[in-house]
Amino acid sequence: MSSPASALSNFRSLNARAEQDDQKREEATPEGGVMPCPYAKRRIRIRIVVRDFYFSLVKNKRYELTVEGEGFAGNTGDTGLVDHLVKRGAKTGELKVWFEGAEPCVWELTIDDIDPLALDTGAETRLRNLGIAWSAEGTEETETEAELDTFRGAFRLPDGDAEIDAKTREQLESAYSTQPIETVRKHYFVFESRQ
Amino acid sequence: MDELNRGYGILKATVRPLEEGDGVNNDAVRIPGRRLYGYIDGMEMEEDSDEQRRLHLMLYCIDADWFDQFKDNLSNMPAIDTTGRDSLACMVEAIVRLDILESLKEFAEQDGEDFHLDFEAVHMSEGWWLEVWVSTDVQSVCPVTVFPPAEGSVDPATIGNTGNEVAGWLHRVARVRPPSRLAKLHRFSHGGL
Repeated sequence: MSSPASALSNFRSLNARAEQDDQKREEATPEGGVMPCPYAKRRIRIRIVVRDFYFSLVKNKRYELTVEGEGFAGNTGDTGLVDHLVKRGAKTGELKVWFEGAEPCVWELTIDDIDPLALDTGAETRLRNLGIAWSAEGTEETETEAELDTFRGAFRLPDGDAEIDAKTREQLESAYSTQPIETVRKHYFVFESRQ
Repeated sequence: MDELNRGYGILKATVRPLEEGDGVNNDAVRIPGRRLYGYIDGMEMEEDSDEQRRLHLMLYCIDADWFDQFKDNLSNMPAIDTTGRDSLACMVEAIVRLDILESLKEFAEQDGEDFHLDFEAVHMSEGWWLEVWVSTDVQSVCPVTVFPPAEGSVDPATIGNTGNEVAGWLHRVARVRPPSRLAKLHRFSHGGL
């Protein structure tokens, strides 16, 4: 056991070191401020796969991404991907992709968490991103069904009802990957009678 | 300027804030086609100089998403806010060679897909409405001429030839479903609300 004098000496030593640390911290921190969490300085990542009308990857096309006033420009490359680190806490953005025409396609981006694909809400958000469900509100059941059938038809899945089944979810997952996916593109142009 | 490229409407997407090291998850967007309701103003079979038979279609088209916002009656039409959304109303002229259509039909049949090309069908006649997908970005085997509205026009119900024309491609033609929507379109084309 240490003597009281020795304990006091140790305490004084520890206290002096703590005061030094406090002083260093105050010098490094603005008056009244708190030390920024190093984690908060890290940026978040946005990765967007761009697909065309037939769900093919939009390769080697020029794009511009603007998030909270910060601009990024690039090319979608061989994987049709837009991939950037942006400011943490950003809530909105804009993506422009120059496809074939002189004017770009423009998306208003909301940066927010999305429910998992296994949940209907997550699947619906992903479908809306692909332009499948046209309206979030007021969509009649028959319209949802028709839009889902449009998606299913592109992948030769059988028509179904307004339920998002497992195969539809699987194809949806593939549409969110950077891998090429096979659709009915080769027919291009179909006269169709929805019975 | 490609007149129609500005007319996709407002495309929206939600993307996730992923962590810096997350190189696995992706979000996705898709360049849409223009889904239109097309009124068949003219439809005839004709022969070109090489005696190739072809189908000549003239469609008066309105934005399907815009029209779908209306409920059973059309009385709320003026109340729909189209601010900031350029009109997609346009005329679409398609001239398709029959031999191309026939080969497409064969492809479709081989793959067991629907391909309805029955010109005797009631939905393929003048004065009827079709649901069509047109793109000015993505090519198909069916080129069309698109006559967009005057630049800056935001009235989705005004269709006319302003002398502007751009190249486009027809991707899909379908019957309008459900029947109530078709009835609503007929009321629209006959000026009844």
